[in-house]
Amino acid sequence: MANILHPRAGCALHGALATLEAIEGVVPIVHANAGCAIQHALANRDCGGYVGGLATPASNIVDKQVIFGGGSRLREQIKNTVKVIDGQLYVALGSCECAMVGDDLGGMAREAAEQGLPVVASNVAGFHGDVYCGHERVWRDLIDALPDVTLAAPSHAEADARPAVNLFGLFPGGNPYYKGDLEELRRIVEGIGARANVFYGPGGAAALQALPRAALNVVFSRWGEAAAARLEEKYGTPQLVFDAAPLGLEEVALFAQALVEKLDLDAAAAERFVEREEALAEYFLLGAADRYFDEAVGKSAALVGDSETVLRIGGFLARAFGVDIRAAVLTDRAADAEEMPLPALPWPTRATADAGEIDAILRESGVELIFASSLEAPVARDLGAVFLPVSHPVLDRAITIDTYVGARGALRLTRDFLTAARQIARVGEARLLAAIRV
Amino acid sequence: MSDNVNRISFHARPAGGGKPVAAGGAASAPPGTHIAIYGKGGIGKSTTTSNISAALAEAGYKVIQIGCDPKSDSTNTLRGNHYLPTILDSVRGGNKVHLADISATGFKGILCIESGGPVPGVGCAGRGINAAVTLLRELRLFEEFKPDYVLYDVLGDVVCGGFAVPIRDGITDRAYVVTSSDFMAIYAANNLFKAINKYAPTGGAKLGGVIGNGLSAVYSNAIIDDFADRTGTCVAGYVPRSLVVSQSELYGKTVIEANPKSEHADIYRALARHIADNDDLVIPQPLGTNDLRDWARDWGDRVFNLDNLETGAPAARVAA
Repeated sequence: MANILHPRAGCALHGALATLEAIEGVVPIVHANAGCAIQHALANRDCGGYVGGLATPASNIVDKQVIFGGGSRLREQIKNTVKVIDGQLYVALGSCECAMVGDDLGGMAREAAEQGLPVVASNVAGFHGDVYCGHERVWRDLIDALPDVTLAAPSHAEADARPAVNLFGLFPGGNPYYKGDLEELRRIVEGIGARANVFYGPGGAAALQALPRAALNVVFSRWGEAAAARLEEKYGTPQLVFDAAPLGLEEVALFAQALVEKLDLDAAAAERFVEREEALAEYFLLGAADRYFDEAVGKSAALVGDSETVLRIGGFLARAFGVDIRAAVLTDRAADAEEMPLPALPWPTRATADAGEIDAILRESGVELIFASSLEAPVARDLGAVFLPVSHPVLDRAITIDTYVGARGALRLTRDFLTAARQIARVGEARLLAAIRV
Repeated sequence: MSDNVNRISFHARPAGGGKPVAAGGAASAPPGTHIAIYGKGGIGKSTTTSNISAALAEAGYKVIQIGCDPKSDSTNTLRGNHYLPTILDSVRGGNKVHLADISATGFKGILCIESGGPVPGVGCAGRGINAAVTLLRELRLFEEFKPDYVLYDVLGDVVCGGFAVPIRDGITDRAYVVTSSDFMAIYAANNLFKAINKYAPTGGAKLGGVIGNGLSAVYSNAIIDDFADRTGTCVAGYVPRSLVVSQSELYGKTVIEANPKSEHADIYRALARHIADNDDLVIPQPLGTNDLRDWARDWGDRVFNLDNLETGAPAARVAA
């Protein structure tokens, strides 16, 4: 029931939409009832990139198309979309309705492709599963279609001699900071002498086209593994699979070392980069040590979010600040925990997306800090805990290039953590003063 | 796990270290020649398909037969009528579906699979066929089994988009239609031609030919020949009505297995050889509804005359 009241994310179609919207130059075309696309837009106020959100091309099928088939309506929608929206790749997304009546989405895409239009089809009926399922499916279909579909503009990065690295596993519909996170990863990858092929960012469609020619696929979560496996099967591209994106200098150094080994990069140059990062972090953190010892020792926290976020942020908090993590809730693993074992974490861990269960877990944890989504803000307020928005959806904070990844993400998280500790200390002081007055 | 994959954990390792199943889908063409066999209900699709499968297996090929009919009795005669859980039975159970649970090895190593369907009167059988066929691809059946031939025995009245799934999405590249010389069977074949005509231009299957089945009258072959001619198709073979077929079926076996030396076994062997070798695929030109009626009426007249000639007795002519 609680999950019905506060759905955390949408269906497979919405997962595919969130993925495609994040790729600049890619235009989703939703073949569905009126309502499927707008639900996604209303539930994700910050969604929409190059195309998407409230301006999503959609066939808005009605009874007539359900009875007689909606192929020709989709054909018309593809034709019209291409006329009015300048895209490098168009992706026709299927829905429950069109899957039920058996519309030939692939046929329509092939027909458009034969006319020289870069159109790909992806059957992501909502009933196939949640947003993560849609994310995996749309990537599968993009990878399968790519060599045969010529995108409308060439990649600019092709002349670059550095080995290219595809970055998978940060899902735009699950990680609200993906833009900043990927920019930080790009900075690190380039700092150690390779080139990051970032799909969710400027020039995304060009990155997509360059995808088969990458020297390595780096995966940061379970949700990038199928894509990387597919690419290995198809192009033999090796993989480097992490359980989360690196956060903090220790992990950045490990990440750099792994990349250097796998790509045979200049180890000394990579080391110099990591040393520079360390020096910079030290410079910024020197003044923070006193504050930490005064106010932030021995804090307790709970985390709610997709497993990558929880592992990354929880791991850093525990290691860097000795935070006592009393509850970790993995919101992306409730549906597939049977198929793929949950990561064995050193904290009390639960896989659920149910708002009621999460509410109960947080109430029971009695923590001072809650790193979660905006859906948990009210319970945090109730409990008098400090709330920090780290997972989807984030409604309390506008997000631009903010990141909780890499070296800069560690500095930002340190700032957030110490600020939160100060808030807690203030509340403590106020309580003490009030008690003395009495 | 591939040697090409390095796994590094910043935090902890999954207890089982499991690798996610690479999602399936319309990737490069799976191994084997994939053939869909359609036909009106009760016309002998399953009997014909099973005998073709048996003949191909007997000739040394690796064969998979997939029944795409909610009745789920396509492969019965290949595996001695034993119970085989259908794909959709397993899906309904809600657990992860494994290939071993939904397949059985039948005559000469033929892998038998039944898609199954919902309880009659509820749910959506077309969607069921679609889901079952997709699941087989996701389970990487064809990559694992490496068949030479895969035969899909499909409910012939193409009633909705779901039943057309085997002839689109690049699942099969050729279809055959089983028909008798009865008008309703030919009507169903013509409907299938409409579906092929619609999907073939965008990568769907083309038609390999028409299989005449259960032919008993002297004019039966001529009717089928004429229909093939009018629709720009050809006839792959003629299977006359025979007690041998019925008897083998009652024994729960194919003719190839029960009566291997019979004339009918040779007919099926020839048909299988033709299907195995034939690469002459066409996009049929179905007759329009009125054209089909006129054509049938025309044959009505000819059959009347034939009957008169044979029996010498005047038959009642249907008023025009």
